[in-house]
Amino acid sequence: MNLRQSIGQLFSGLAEVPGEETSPIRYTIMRRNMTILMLLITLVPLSLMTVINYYEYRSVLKDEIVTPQKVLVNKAKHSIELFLANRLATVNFIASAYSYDELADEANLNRIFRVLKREFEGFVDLGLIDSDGIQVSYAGPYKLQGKDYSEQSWFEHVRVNGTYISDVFKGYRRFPHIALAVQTMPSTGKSWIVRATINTGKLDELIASMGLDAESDAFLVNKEGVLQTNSKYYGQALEQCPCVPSVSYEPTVLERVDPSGREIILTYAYFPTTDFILMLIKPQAQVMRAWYSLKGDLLLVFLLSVGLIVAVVLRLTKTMFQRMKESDDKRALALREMEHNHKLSSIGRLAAGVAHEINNPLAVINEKAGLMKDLIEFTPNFPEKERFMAPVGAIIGSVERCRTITHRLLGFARRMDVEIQVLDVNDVIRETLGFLEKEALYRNIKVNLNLGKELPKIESDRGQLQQVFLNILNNALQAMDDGGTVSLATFERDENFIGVTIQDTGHGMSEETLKHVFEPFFTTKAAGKGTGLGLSITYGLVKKLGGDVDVQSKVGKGTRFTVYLPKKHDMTQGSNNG
Amino acid sequence: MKETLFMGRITATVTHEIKNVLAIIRESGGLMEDFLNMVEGDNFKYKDRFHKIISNIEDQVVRGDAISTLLNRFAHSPDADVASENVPDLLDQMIVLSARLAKAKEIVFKSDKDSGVILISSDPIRIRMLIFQAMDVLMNYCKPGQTILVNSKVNDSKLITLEFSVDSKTQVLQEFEQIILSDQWKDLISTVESLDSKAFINPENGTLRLELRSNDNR
Amino acid sequence: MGSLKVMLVDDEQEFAITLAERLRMRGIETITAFDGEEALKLIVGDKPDVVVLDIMMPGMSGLQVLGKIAEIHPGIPVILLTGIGSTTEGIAGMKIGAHDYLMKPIQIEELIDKIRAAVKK
Repeated sequence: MNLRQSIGQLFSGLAEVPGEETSPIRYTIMRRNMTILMLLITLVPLSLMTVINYYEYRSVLKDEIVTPQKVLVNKAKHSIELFLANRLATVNFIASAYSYDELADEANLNRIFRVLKREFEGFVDLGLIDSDGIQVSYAGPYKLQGKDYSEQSWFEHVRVNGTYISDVFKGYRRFPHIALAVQTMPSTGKSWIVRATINTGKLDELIASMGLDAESDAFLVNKEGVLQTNSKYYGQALEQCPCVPSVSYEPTVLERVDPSGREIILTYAYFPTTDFILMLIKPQAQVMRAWYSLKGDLLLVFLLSVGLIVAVVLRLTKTMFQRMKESDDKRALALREMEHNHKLSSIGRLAAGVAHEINNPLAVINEKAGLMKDLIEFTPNFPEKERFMAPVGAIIGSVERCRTITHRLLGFARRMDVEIQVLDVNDVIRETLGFLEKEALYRNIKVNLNLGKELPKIESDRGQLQQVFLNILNNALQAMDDGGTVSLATFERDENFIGVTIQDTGHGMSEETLKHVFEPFFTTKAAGKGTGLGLSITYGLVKKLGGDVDVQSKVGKGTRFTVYLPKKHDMTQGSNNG
Repeated sequence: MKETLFMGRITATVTHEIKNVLAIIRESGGLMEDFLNMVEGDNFKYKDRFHKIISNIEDQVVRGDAISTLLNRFAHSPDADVASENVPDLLDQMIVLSARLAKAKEIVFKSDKDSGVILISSDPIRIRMLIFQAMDVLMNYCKPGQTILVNSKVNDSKLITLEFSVDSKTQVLQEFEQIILSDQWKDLISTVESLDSKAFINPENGTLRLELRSNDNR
Repeated sequence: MGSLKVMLVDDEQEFAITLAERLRMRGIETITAFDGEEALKLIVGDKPDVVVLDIMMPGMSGLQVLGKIAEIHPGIPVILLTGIGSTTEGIAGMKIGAHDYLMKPIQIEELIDKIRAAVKK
């Protein structure tokens, strides 16, 4: 099966629910399916986008955070290198510019040291050491003259390499410093070494000038992991630092967990000329703060969108299916009405045919009886004339009665369409009561008529009005026990409407029943006595005629229907409902 | 349905009343007969004439009463949503009720009297309407003077077939083909569908066939 | 007043015969026919003053007969007899030339009044 087919199936599957096609559950299932589909097609891309964005943003942000760190480390490294190279060059200059003797002269050396101190900060002392490692002269705060350095490793180093920069050490002094030594090799005679120490304050300054925030830490460490400058987190200078990363002269970034369990981002670079490693440490949490806030925003936007989509989709499908259901209901109702009209017009035609069939024998009987009457009347001295005239009169009277009855029946059968005429509602009520006289009589039900004498004539449909009143009256009769009273009154409500009230002394209706009494398809079958024939039809008819129905009822007391009818038939209103 | 129920009630009441009035006419006739019999011999020259007129009136009363009875029965049909009824009886009822309409078109419907009992369970109003609609459509598309035979039978699977066939096969073909295009046929089809049944027209032998489904679960 | 001649057309034979007799008892001459074709046959040779015509008849309907009569004897007044409740048919008949209509069962006095009115016109 190809994709198109399966998509087609998916959609047709949504619209079609197996079995129970007319049951209301169908809408629920369809609505559920539609909701799921709509949520899928909106939420899946949204989620994908969010996930992709998440990773993209993270990598971009990391670059953005990491690159400045590398730059910073690189810059600081250069500054430190420059500083050391500069100091070394100064020492080298002193070693080259002056002769051994000049330097050996302590007074002279002191003078040079003073100038040096003035011009270059950080110098702690200056000394001349001969090729045997003996301190020949010394300028500085300590008494070091005559000290023998020949056994120390740096001495060997400087003898081999010509220059030397030491790690930070405390040596005889009690603060960390770095020793710089330069060997001078004159073409003749003995070589000598000029050695100066500088304190590490300048290094601290340089590190401080990186402009780090409170939670970051930068420091120098040597290859053995001994801290060269003070670290915020890992101890003072000359203490052992727990971490020594692998060799890299380019600034490198590592994500680490330090011994105290913190997640850190470590940026470092080895110094090519010395043993130093510059390390920059930032807590991950701090570095990623921007990321976390972005992540939070992303999540918030995602959740809000999802919430919005779900709300909109639910609302949309709800409205959609409500509309669909409404229009389906309307169509079903219209169909039902149409079928119903067919039915009625068929019955109407049939009834008309049948009425003729009844009418014909009546016409014959009428003529036969009439003939007898004629014979009796036209014959002079007809024996027992009175005696014979009585039954003949009875027959003719009966025929007349039948005629009235059939006429009424046909009137009902025929009145399917609205046929507007000017009529007197009081007449219509009297006519309608004619249908019920018998039942009222049998059941000893009293009918009170209080018809408005000056009631204006209205434009309406006689047949439909009869049906309205008959429905309500039927309802009233059914709701009452024998011996009750029905009161009818007509009145002019205002300049546009007249009103008809029909009040019974029946069982009344509960509030619950009252609420539903005009609803189509509502039935009180279970409730037994009460509403009788469909009041929804009554309601529909009155609405069709441009009027309104009001009903008030009290259980045990009775029910009062008030029908309001417009005096003028509004054509537009009529055609709307047609 | 409420309106049909309403119509039914009205019609039932009215036919009942007509029957009462016809009974009065009958009794009046009887009374006159008694008077006539009491009148001595030659004293009354219209005696025989009156006897004849009264018996005539009685005949008409019987006629009117019969049709009122049928109409009354018909009017009670919407009382139940589903009823089990005998199809041949239904046919007879509808044939009599629409006799006047058929007579106006000079068409005679004749039902097969030997069908026996065929019970159908359906909406009593709809089934009557369907039979009437079938007759109505045939009345409009048949020639005056034609007789239409109606027979009903049932097969194993509860399918009840009503067949209306025109006795003379002359000149029905064209008209029959047009039936399907008529509005009446559309109405008939909607009724047929509401009864979960089928309707067929066969122009070749001039028949209209209804296949009705007895629905006991409806 | 001279003797009036009325043609009665009704498929209900008992009705037509009885009504004819009653009219005769009142001095009105009658011709009876039981369907449209018979009526048209009779009317050619025997022109009545008024025709009383039933609308609902098998074969030719009253309205069809009405048209034919107008062809044979233009201007002859026709009173239609309608079934109960078929006022519309009566009115339709009057639109195509009927003089008046009456609803069955009729009252003979009313019929005679209408016949007299029709002739007077």
